[in-house]
Order: sequence, then structure tokens, then C-alpha cells
Amino acid sequence: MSRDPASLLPLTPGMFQVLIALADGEKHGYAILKEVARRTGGEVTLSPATLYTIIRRFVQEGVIGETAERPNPALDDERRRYYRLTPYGRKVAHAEASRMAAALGMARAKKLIPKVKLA
Amino acid sequence: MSGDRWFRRLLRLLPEDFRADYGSEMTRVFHEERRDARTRMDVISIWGRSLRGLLAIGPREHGAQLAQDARYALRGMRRQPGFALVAVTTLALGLGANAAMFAAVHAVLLRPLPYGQPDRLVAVWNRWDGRPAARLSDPEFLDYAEQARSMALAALSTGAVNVVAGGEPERVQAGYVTANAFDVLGVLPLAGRGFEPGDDVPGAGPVVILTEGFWRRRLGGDPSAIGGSIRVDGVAHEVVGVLAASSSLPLAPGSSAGPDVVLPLALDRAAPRSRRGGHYLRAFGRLAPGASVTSASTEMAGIVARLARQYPDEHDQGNFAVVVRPLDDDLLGDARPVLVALGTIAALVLLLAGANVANLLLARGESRRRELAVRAALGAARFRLLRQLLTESTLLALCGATVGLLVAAWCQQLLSGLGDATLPRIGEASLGRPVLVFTAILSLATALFCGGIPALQALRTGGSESLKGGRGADGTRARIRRGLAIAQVAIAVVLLVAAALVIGSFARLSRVPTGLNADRVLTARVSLPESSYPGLAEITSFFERLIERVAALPGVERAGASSGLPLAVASGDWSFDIEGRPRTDGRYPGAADWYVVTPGYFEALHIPLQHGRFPAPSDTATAPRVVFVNQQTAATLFPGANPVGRRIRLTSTTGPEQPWRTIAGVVGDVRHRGLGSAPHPEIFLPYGQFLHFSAGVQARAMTLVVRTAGDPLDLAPALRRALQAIDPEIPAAQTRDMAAVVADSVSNRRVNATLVGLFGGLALGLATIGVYGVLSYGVARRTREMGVRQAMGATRGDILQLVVREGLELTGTGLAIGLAAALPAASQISGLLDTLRPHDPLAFASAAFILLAAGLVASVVPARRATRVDPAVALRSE
Repeated sequence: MSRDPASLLPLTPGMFQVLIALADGEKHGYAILKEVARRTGGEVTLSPATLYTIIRRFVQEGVIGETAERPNPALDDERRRYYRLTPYGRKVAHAEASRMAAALGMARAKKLIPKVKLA
Repeated sequence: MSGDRWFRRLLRLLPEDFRADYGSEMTRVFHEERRDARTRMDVISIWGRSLRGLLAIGPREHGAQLAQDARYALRGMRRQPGFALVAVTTLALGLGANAAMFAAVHAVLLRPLPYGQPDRLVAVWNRWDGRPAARLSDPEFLDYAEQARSMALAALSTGAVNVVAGGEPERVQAGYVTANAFDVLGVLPLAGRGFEPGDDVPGAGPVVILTEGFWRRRLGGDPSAIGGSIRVDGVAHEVVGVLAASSSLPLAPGSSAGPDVVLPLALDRAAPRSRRGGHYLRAFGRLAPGASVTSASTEMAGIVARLARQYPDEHDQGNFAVVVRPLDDDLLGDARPVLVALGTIAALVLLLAGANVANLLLARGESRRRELAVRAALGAARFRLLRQLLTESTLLALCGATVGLLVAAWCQQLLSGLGDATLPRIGEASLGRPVLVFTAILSLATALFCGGIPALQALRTGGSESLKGGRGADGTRARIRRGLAIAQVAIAVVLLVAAALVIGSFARLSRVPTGLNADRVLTARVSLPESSYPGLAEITSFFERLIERVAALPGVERAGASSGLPLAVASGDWSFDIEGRPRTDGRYPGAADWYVVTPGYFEALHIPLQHGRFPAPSDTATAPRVVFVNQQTAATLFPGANPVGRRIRLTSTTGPEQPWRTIAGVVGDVRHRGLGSAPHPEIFLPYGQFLHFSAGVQARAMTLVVRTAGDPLDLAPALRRALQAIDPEIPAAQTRDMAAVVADSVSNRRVNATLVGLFGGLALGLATIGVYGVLSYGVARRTREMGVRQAMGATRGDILQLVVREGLELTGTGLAIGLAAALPAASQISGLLDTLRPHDPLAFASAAFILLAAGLVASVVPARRATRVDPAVALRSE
């Protein structure tokens, strides 16, 4: 995939969260869903249809791929499908994060972000 | 587990391929979410979220796929513009014809009448043997209206009046209605008021209601005209209201244009009712609550039986009765059979067009077989492929429908040429929303038909076999294409037979001898108001002076006048006694259509004299009373004898006793009531001796007929000047050339012939293309075979014969099926034929001949191509 990652931007919050969930390794659908909900404190909750629309789109665009490898079969159901970020997908996630960072920078410069101590 | 099952069911909201790829995964996620839920609230929110997701994503995904399919189809059309052009044009012709027919059906048949609760309205007619629907006389209407409890009855008659309203005098159509007519119809005037009970009493102050069209045309739609006055037949009338254009009076089909002004119909309720002839009123009624057409009919039967006992002499017609029927049935007349016939023909054209496009798509399917196979092998769902193919045909059909609306607008102009006489309210047909919706639905159905066959075919064989380049499916596809071509030929035969019948009937009708010479004759209707021309003396003096002046104009060969005009103005019949022939069972021995004529009338129209003499200026009120008859009267009432010198006496109702009149001459028959109907018995009364059967009625309206040396219309200005010189308040109406009168009398038949002929020609063209397409494809596919045959020594003649025979087999099979189907179908269009029987052998033979000739042409072209195959090239090709 030599396409410009920026062509997919901006991503929806759901899409971005799926990429973040897959950033540290491959996951199956339910795991992605749980991770997104946990990480966003329930702010982004995906329904199965929404999740798989994102997954389908990402697979078609080459952002994520289905893995052939499975974790220990004893721990897992063989019918599950696992997804991982492709190198192109990593670029897409990076591009989106940079875009958001740039936007945040601008907002901060205009003092639009209250000074809150991050825990 | 039932939660999962529900969820799986809901997944059907998503496109099939999506479901196939991820359906089980989604179900699993949904299952796991619910498994891990802690509280009941969690479960509910999981359900809600999942449902919302499906409902939002399902339609979006479907739409996206559809857009993708459409883009793909458009790319395909751009790649093969020739194919797209032919397919769109074919469909446009088929869909356009149907859109126009639907617009007509909607305007004429489907829309309710423009009255309040129109389903409660009925028409009331007399009937007797030989007259299924006769009008009512004054006493009949009054008796029926006074005695009927199941409905409120109103009456209507029509006429023409001279009106002076801001400018030139004009002769306009008038409707006369009883004061309750608007209440019965449930119609409110656009402005002002309707008629009130006192308005229709004899001697009431003269009032008039204008129709919206007249009000706008002559008075510029000026609201202050209401309350003002206009002169009607020389008498000032107060304008009390304006009737909206949409609520016209319920006139019968065949009656001329709707009225311009509406006047109260003054019936004398106090007059004696023992003389019950003079049938001229149309009656209509509103059923009382709880009453039905059946109960009203039963009541009327009782009333009529009582009246027949009371006035036995006045009910001498055979089986006198009264008919009550729904008003809309009454007003539609012959429109239903005409529209059903034309609509069926249009539907067949569409079927033919659909078959043609299906054949084109099948042929294209050949070239795309591998493409489809590749896509199927790559995992595109079958349903998705089917949808892809149907999207293409839908796109073609929608383009066809859009172009078709132009065709429809043109067809509609033709159709409105049929006029209100054949199709009431056809003038109100428009390509409005109902027509657009119909056309959209029809084009989708067409897309399903012409795209479905090739799509299913392509799918069935779209699998591995095609990838291998195999030909097993070719047989099936060729069979389908041959079947479609045969069906096209068969449909075309039916349409050609219909066209041959309708055109043949029209051609014969046009050749029917009228009985007169219509060349170089000017006609104009002149009508005298009662106020300035009260009696016979004033009327005869006027017409005498007028005809004298007109006859003296340069270029005039002969001039005369009649109360009627052949093929335009007809009268009813009048019964009479014949001297020396007693009445049987109270029935008069004679009856005939009657006209009042001046000297010069027959000569001006070149109507030949058979016996005796023509009317002469000496036939005055003081001269011996005479009458003239046509050949039909002579032949039916005095068979084998010369009736000149025999005497007859006409009946009278409220008028003075009629004198005995001597038959002074017999004239040739004229097709007075239309070229399609045989001459009726007719009698002609010299205008100087005219006495109407009702008291106080005169022949005030006469049609001038003027034979000229040059173009008759050149004379029109001089004729108007002659009229103005005698009385400037009298207009000349309907100034026409007699040849135009004859042509107008068959104009609706001409439109039918044009429409059905066009449809037939279209069908022929489409079927020829169909046969040609199948044969060309066959030749292309059998290039190798042709090469082998030639290499084996077959001559070019042999090859030519081989292909042509195949073409003629196709055409012949279609022809046989088509002729068999045309036999019953032809009976369905008998409403469009006057002079031909539906099974006219010549029409069938000519349709068959034309089709075989077209089949031959369609075969010869591909056959010649087959003979040009180079054997060496052909053998190397595979």
C-alpha cells in the first residue's frame, strides 16, 4: 500500500479508537470493543454493527489485516478472527494522532484548553 | 439463546455480503457482551446500542453499494454508447406510449367527477325498443321529479345563444338547467351565486351564470361583472355568478364543447301534461340517503307504470321504461373500450420493447461472461452480482422513462386530438404526479423484466464453466434469445393486425360516399334571437333577404340553408301519419329525422333529385303544404313506389295541429349522422311552412350553405358583411368549409388510425431488429461452421439459404402464434372499427405479408455476411 495515509483522514472517534486498541497487538472483535470502552471510560461504545463496519472498511483499505496466527488454542476458540495493524495502518494512526496534536496545539495557543493537572 | 437468534435475524438489515463476511463474528460479539453484562440495565443498553447500530448502518451500506453499482453501470454505458442509445430509445418509446395512455386513463376513467360525492349521482333516461337512452320531455321530467322520493332530479339542455358582452356579438354555447341543478351536483359557484328557486319560473327576471372561461375571455375576469348585465339573444340578463372551469355541467360524450353561459331552464309546471312528446332534456339526480341505484330504479319503474296507465296514447313506443344508472358510467360513454384497446396496444409495445432490450442485454451478457465469472470467482456474492445487473437495466429503464416523458407529451397531443367527444375530460390529462409515479413503477417493472432474464442466465452460467471458456450454456442462451425473438414477432403480428384493421377501417370510412359534394362549399351557422324575431314571418323574411344577398355576391353559384348540417348538426326524429295507413296499436306508421330547408339548399350541396322537385320559393305559408323526403324514407315507407303525391301529417305536442302535407320530391340519401352510420329516413320541411310540434318554437338557427366558384373561405368576409348589413347584432358562427366539416367528422378515427398505425410500425421495427439480432449473433457464433461448410464444398447460395431458412423459421413460428392470438385480440378493438369486421381477412393477410417481408430482410443481411466468411480464416479462428 503506497497510498497516502492522509487520504483516510479525519477518522471518526470510533475508527481512531479501534486503531489505538490494535496498536499494542492483535485482538479479536470483542476484545477491541471492550478495550475501547474501558480506555474511553464508556464514552465511546461501539455496537457490533458499527465495529464490524469499521473493521470491514479498514480491511478493504489495508489499514488492518486478519491474522492467521492464533494464541494458544487451549485458551481460545478457533473460530475467532483476529485483527492486527498493518504498517500502512500504523502510518494512518500516526497521521491522525499528529493531526489531532496539531489541532490541540492551536487550541492551546489560543488558550482554549483549561489548565488542568493531569493525574 | 433466543437473544442471539433475534440478533441474527436483525442482521438481515445489512447487505448480504457484509453479513456473509462478518455476521457470525457480530453475533459472537453480541453474545459475549451480554454474557459479561452485570446488571439488567447493562443488557438493555447493549440491546439498544446494537439495534441503533444496525438501523443506522444497514440503509447506509445498502445505499453505498447501490451507488457503487450505479457508477459501475454508468461506466459500462459510456463504454458502449451505441448499445445504451438503442436500449434507451427502445424503452423510451415503450414507456412513453404507456405514460401517455395512463395520463389519458387517469384523466378520463380514474378521476372522480368534479362534483360533491359523485358516487351518489345518477343519470335518468327514458328507454324504449330501439332507443336504449332517450331524453325526457318537459311533462315527463316534471312528473318524475315531483314523484321520485329516492332522488332529487335536475334537468339540463343545451343550445346556442347570441351574446353581446363588451364588444362584438358572439354566438356561444348555452346550458339550460333547472334551478336546483347546482345543489344536485354539489357544486358551488366560483363567485356570486348559483340559481335560486325563483329563477327558473317562467316570467322570472332574466339571469345568467357565466362559465369561468367565458368570464375571463370576454370580461377579463372582472369581478364587478357580477351584478352587471349582458345581452343574451337581445335581452339584458343580470349576471349572478361565475361557474368554475373545473365544475362543468354533466354533458354527454359526443356533445360539443361545454357551455359558455348557463341559463335557467324555465319549465311550466302548471301546463297540462297530457302531450308527452318532445324529448330533449337530460336528467340527472342525487340519490337520497339510504337510496341506491337499484332502489331508485324500482321506484321509477312504479312511477312510469302509473304514468303509462294515465296516458296510454303517449307511451306507444315498445316497452317504454326509465333507466337509472350511475352518472360516471353515463358520462364515460365509449371511452372505456377505446382506452382499454389503446392501452392494451401500448402495453404490448412496451412488452415488445422489453423483449428487445432483454435480447440486447443477453447478447451483451455473452461478451461480459468472463468478466462476471471472474467477479464471481473473486467472491462477489451471487445476490450482489444479480443486483449489479439489475442496477444496469434499471438505469437504462429510468433513462428510457425520462426520454419517454417527451414521447408521452407528444403522444398526448395526438390523444387530445380525439377530443372530448370520444374521451371526456381528455383535455385535462397532464403528465402530473400520478403519471410520474406510474411511469417510475412501470420502468422498474420493465427493468426487472428485461434485466432479470439475462441476469439470471448470466448467473446460472457465470461460474467456473465460463472461466474455462466452455460453451455448454450457449445452447440455453440461444434458446432464450430465439424464444424472445419469436415472442417479439408474435406480439408484432397482433399489433400489425390491429393497425391494419384500424387503418383499413379508416381508409374505407374516408371513401364512403357522403351523398353530397363538399368541394367549394362554405357553411356558417346563423341564429336569430326571439326578442327581435318572434315569429315565422320575421324569420323567413330575414333568411330570404340573407340568402338573396349572399347569392348575389360575386363568386357564389348557389346558396341555401337548413336547420341541420350533414355530419355536424343532426336532429331527432318526428312521427307522422300516412294518409290511408291507420296506426297499429296506437303507433304512428312513419317517423323520420327532420330538417327545415330553404330553396337552394339541395342544389348548393349537389344532393341529387330522384323524383318530383326541389323546394321552391313558392312554398310559402299560404301555398299548399308540401314536404320532401330522402330515398331512405321513400324506400322504407313506400317500398317499390314513387311516393310523390302521397300525404303525411306530423304529430304535435303542445304546438298547433299539423296540416296534411303532400310529398313533392324525393332527394338522394346523405350520411347525415356520420360516415360510419347508414342514412336514416329524413323529411325536409320548406322553411316558409314550418310549424314546430311545441307551442311557440321556431327554427331560429339555420346553417347557410354556399357553393362558390373559388376557395370558399375567401368568401367568409363578404358573407359576414352581408349579415351585418341586415342585422349587426347577429354573428355568423362556425364559418367552415364543408370539406373541413367532413374531415372533422372522422378526426377521431384519424387519430386512432395514426396512433395504432404508429404503434404497429414501431412493433414491426422492434421485431425486425429482434430477429436480425438473433440471426447475426448466430452467424457470428457459427463462423467456424460456415467455414467448414464452405471448405466441404457448400456454395454461397447454400449458406445464404441456410441462414435465411433459419430466419424464416423464427418469423414463421412467431407469425403462426401471433395470428392465433390476433383472432381473439381483434374482437377487443371492435370499438375502434366502423367499416370492417374484426376478422377481416385482408387485414390479417396484409399484416402477415408485411411481417414475412420484414423477416426476410432481417435474415438476408446476416445471411450475406455468412457467405462472406473466408473458410481459411474461419478454420484458424479456434
